[in-house]
Amino acid sequence: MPPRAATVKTFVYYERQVKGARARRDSFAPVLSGWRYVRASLITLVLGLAFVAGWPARMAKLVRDWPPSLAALALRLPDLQQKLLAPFAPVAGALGIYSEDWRLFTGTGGTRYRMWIEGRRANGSFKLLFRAADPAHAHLSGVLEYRRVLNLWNPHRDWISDGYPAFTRWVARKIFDEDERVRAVRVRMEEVAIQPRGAGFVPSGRFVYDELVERDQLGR
Amino acid sequence: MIERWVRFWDRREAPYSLALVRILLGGVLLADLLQAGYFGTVTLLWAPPPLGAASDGTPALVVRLLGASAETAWLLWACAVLCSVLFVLGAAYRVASVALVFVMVELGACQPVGDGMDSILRVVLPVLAVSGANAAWSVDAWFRRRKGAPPRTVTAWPRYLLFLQVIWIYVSAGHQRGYTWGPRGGFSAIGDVLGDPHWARFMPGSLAPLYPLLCLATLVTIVFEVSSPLILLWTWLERHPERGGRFGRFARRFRLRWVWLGAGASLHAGIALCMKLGIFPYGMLALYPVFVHPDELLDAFDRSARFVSRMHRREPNAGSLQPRTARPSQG
Repeated sequence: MPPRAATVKTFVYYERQVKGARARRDSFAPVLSGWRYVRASLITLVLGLAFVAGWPARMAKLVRDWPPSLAALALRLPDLQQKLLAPFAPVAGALGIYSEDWRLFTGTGGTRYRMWIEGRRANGSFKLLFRAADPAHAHLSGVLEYRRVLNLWNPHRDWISDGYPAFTRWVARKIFDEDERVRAVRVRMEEVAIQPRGAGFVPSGRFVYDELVERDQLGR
Repeated sequence: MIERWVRFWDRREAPYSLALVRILLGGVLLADLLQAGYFGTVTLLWAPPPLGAASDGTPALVVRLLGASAETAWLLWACAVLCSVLFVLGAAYRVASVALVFVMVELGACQPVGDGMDSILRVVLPVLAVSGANAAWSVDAWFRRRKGAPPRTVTAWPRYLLFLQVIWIYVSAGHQRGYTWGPRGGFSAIGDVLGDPHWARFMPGSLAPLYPLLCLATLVTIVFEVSSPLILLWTWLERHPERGGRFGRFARRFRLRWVWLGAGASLHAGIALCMKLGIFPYGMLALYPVFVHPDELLDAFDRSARFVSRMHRREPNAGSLQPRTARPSQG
């Protein structure tokens, strides 16, 4: 795309820079030429590895409706993927890169969850402090909805993070420090059914991932 | 063929696109880390049980050296904040960016529970660390200029790699979508997400009257993601006005490249507006400058500057127009 008149100067300047760099490169040609090849090879290797690392992990689910012969071929890929990536795993592990398989909102709808946090007073009654998507009970909503914290307590389809019990203790500690009358904190997830046509959700009254933290447990 | 391939990865360009990614992405990461400090969640996230929820599996290197404690968690967080600040400013860039990569890996080892953005950052930061993203709009560049050194060009391959990375994120996400993203599920996916009490920013169900639009948004999202490799073609056609024949002319005339980029920006803006997905939409948008050649970026800034100065020049006239238009009615 040709540059516009007002920026021509800058472009010409950078054009000169590029030419200058090329001229300098020419003077170091023997060394740089070798490096250029090494770099291009490394980039090619990275691209190849990234492509292999990007093969979907949930292959069995993806090929359910494929013709059997093709599906059988696809189902061999995860093993092959492991073998190809194994020699480079230490480098990828050192950088914390575990996959190029990006699963974002693969499944939606169906049964989901809604977190409740309640405080129990001395008389044994529970008071609702926080409930997701409930502006009337939004205590600590700022911190609870901060993405790193949300990742700890937000259940996936059929599992919850290992950090969930620690999260419940942490939130209980916070509530105990704020209100001395609270004797125990209960954190649990209500199952909700997502309604069709964007009509929201219907609570089921069934609770899972129920954790009760007593004040004495935390030495408060 | 091999020589062309080597020449392609040896290309140089002005550093502005990479510099903008550095500033935007570093800014997003810094804001995220500062939020962790502001909410007092550093101990929860990165300290070991019973104080925090950090993983007690394979410990991070820093944890092995300094021991698992709340102090180690705070130290790691403080290092991450410091490195992010230096990264955004482009100060002592090479050291700061390599340190940032290291600290982010350590934080990830302490707390493996994360979302897509954590994984994206771990892929993108090392590429930015070895790039010349500090060659413009940075403290390092300012010092270079003060010493009388001319601005320099940088190798373009880090931008190309990030370009391909973003496309791959879309392709990978797109081809793994469940049935609610397609006609069998009635394109209900976005409507479903907005009904989920943990993700919806507005009261679930409140956008039901707009349901047909939500279905359309689902369709546009999936088409956008699956078609994302075409951005390579649209970009190539724009950079070679003489190529592509009638199809090329069509793509250039209808600015298909900018339509795709606009659709992506709208998609992420919509996510930021309607869903509680943390820094994900901002982080993705921060990567968009990789799709823009530095020359185009300069051109856009130049146009914006001219527009602002035109508006600035007009202002006194605009002020003087008011009494003139008011006079007849007063009379």
